[in-house]
Formats: sequence, C-alpha cells, structure tokens
Amino acid sequence: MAKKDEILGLFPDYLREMWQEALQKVESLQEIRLRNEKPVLLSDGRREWFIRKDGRLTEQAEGAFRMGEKELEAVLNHVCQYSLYAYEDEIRQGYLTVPGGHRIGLAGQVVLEGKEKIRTIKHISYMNIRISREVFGAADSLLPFLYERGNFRNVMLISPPGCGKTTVLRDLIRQVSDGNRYGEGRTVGVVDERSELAGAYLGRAQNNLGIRTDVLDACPKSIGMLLLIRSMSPKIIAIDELGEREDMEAVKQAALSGIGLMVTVHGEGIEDIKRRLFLQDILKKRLFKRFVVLHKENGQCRIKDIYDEELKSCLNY
Amino acid sequence: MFKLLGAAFIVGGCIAYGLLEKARMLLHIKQLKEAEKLMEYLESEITYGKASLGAACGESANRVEEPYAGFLKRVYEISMENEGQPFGDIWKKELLAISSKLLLKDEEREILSCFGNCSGYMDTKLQQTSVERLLTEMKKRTGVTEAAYADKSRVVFCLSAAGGMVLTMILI
Repeated sequence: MAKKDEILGLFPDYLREMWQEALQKVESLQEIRLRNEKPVLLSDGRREWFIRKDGRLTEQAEGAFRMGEKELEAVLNHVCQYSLYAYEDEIRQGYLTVPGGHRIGLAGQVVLEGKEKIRTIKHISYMNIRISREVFGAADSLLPFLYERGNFRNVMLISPPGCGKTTVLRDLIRQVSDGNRYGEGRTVGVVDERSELAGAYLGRAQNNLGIRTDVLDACPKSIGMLLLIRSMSPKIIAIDELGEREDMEAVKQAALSGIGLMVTVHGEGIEDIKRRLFLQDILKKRLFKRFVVLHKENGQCRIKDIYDEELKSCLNY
Repeated sequence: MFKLLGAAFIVGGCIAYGLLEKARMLLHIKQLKEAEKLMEYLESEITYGKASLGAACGESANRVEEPYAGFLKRVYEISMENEGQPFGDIWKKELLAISSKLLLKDEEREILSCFGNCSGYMDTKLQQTSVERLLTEMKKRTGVTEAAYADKSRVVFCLSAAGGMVLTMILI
C-alpha cells in the first residue's frame, strides 16, 4: 500500500476527500499535527503548511481547517478500529502504532493510578501523526567500521532527538540481518518497546528489518532482551533508546553471553555519554567497540564522529 | 371417494402447515441461541484476546452457524478494508442484509443491532459489561421463547388440524 493511502486510511470517510487532496501535494510528509480547535499543521521537516477545508494547502493560519473535539474523537476511534479498549496500553503510553509503522502521539488529560502510574489519557485533544520513513542505505557509511574480519562489533549510536538514530539503527538491523559486503547475515533479535523500529502492527513488522530478524514488540527492554536470548537465540540484539538502569543490566548480561549489540542512546556527544552515571560501568567494561555520534547539518542527519572502545576518534570529518 | 381424498388432502395440508410453523418456531429458538453464542464468542475475543471489534468478528465467524457466520465474515472483511465507515454502521448494514434469513422478532433484532453501538469504550471492563448486558437481554428473550414453545406449538398443531377439519366440513 502506498504511504499516502496508509495516511488516508487513518481518517474516517467524511474527512478523506479533504486529506486526499492535501496528501497529493506534499511529497515527503513527516508530521501531521492535529490540535483541538487549532489549525491542522503538516510538516516535511523543513516547511509547514496548514490545510483548508477543500484540501488545499496554505501557509496562512487564517482560514485553515480546525479540527473540533468531535473530529478528533472520530479520528481516534477510527484509528483504534472503534475498539479503544484494544489500545488501552498504547493509549496509556501516549502513542499508537498504525499500519505502515506510522505512529500517532497522543496528549490530553492524564488520569493517574496512585502517584506515578498513568491509568489512561482522556479528552485526547492533541495528536501528532509521525510518518514512518525507511531510509535504505542510511547505515552504509557505518558498516566498514562495524566489522573486523567479518565479525560484528558492538555499536552504540548517540545523538540528540531528531537526528536519525532510529532510522540508522533500522537500516543497520536490516543490513546486518540480510548480510552485507563486510559480513554474512546474522540472526538479529529486536526488542522494540515503543514499536518504532519495526513499526509492528498486530505483532507484524511493517518495516523491513531483514530476513533473519525476530521482533519482540511492545515489550520492556530489560525483560525483552532476556526473553529473546532464551527463546530465539539471536547472534545480535538491537535496542532503541537505552536509558534505564535495568536496561544496562540486561545489556551487560547479553554482552557477557557473547551476543552482539546495536543500541541507541540520547546524548549530545561522547563527552555527554561519559558523564552519564548509568553508562559508566558499560564504558569501563568496554562492552561497546564503536560509538557513533550523529548530528543534524543543514536539516540533514549526518555522522559527526565514530569512536573506538577507548573513546578515541576513528575518523575526522 | 374423491370427497374423502380431498378431505384428507385439506386436513393433511393444514397439519403440514402447522408442522411447518412448529419448525419455524424451533428455528427461531435455534437462531436466538446462536445469537447468544455469537455474543459469547465476541465477548471472549474482546476480553481475553483484546481483539478489536472487527477482528473479534473475524475470529468468531467460523464458530457460529449461518446466517451469522457469513454475516460476521462480511463485517470483518469490510472492517479490514478500511473504507472509513464506523464499525456500528457496518454492523447494522450487514445485519440488515441478512434480515430476510433471520426469524428474530423486532426486539431481538434490536438487541443484536445494539452491539454495533458498543464501541468507543476505552476500558475493557466497560466494553465487556456492555456486551454482557446485551447477552443477558438475549438470554432472557431465548428463555421466554423457549418456555412458550411447548404451549405454542401444541396450540398451532391443534389449530391447524382443527382448521383443516372445519374447512373440510365447510367444503363438503
């Protein structure tokens, strides 16, 4: 199914005519922002447009189409196949993954259970439809640094949000799984807690993660890693956005079992990573052989630097 | 001789009509019970499998008899086609499409039709309760119909036989 049809499928029938018109005009749509009684916004990462009721795009907010409470509710209901209960857990986490691997971020009134646990989000008044993009070849320039005589080296991708960590990791998984000119294909286990890598819908990966990849969708990383090791015997495990102490324990356990690792971490650069307390032990034990720092340059995601296990730069850009 | 043969035909025809009516009543009860079963399967898919309403229809389609099996299959297929129609509309439209095959009374059809309105609950428990309420209603209707069946069928049979005899006497 074409990406535009997938996006169109997110809207109930009475809104489709308007969206059909609009979606034809935006080539590389990245985001659609729906806010209660606010103009609907479309963005391709560099430019923003508002949408008129007739589907035409405009750069003026005045006269732009505003989604009301009922329309937002209709979109949410439609996306959830009129079965909100079936998406209870996702709504609680604040996002939904839809066919095609696209994600819809949700915000509204949070209902707490106790003091820290979210029971649900009600009166959902803000939605952010993030269009999933697979960039084949995004990891091409990394591959020569990640193999040593055909053996894969554990890698940590580091960047601030929006610099393409997940996109690079997704392509890396695919290339490692399928095999590439630097190494043969390997079994990769993916613990996709937020359904961002595989974009799984009903347990099935919507993105191409390669022929030797097994995906554990919507599972907490620390539990998922151990579960995959026990059940699927992966040669390499891939995880997006490491960030908690329990994750580190599972990472250590996996590395000590001889399993390769591909992970991403939020961070400004290698210095930032060195300061993180939860990463200290991993750095000390030299569990990762490559640290790749990504950044954004002129709106494009690029590799800033690659470091070895001693945190020395492997290249100079 | 011909009169006797004609009388036998008339009485036989009336009795056959009575038996047919009795069979219809039995089929009505069977359809009510099948509707109950349908709701129970849907409820279990919703609560245990956390399946969406459309998917629950697909899963349950093979476990019930016609005309419900075809009906659920159609609802599932249309839901998956994602043409943008609300689930409730699809459910009602498809229920209407099989109405000629259903012997259910208006109130019973209404209960079945109400399932289409049971969407939009964020809480599984609430969703379950709403289906359970319909299931209870349906069970009540089945109970009443079943209890009345013995008397009603006897009355229908006697009336049809008596009607045949009266008609014969009039014609002779």
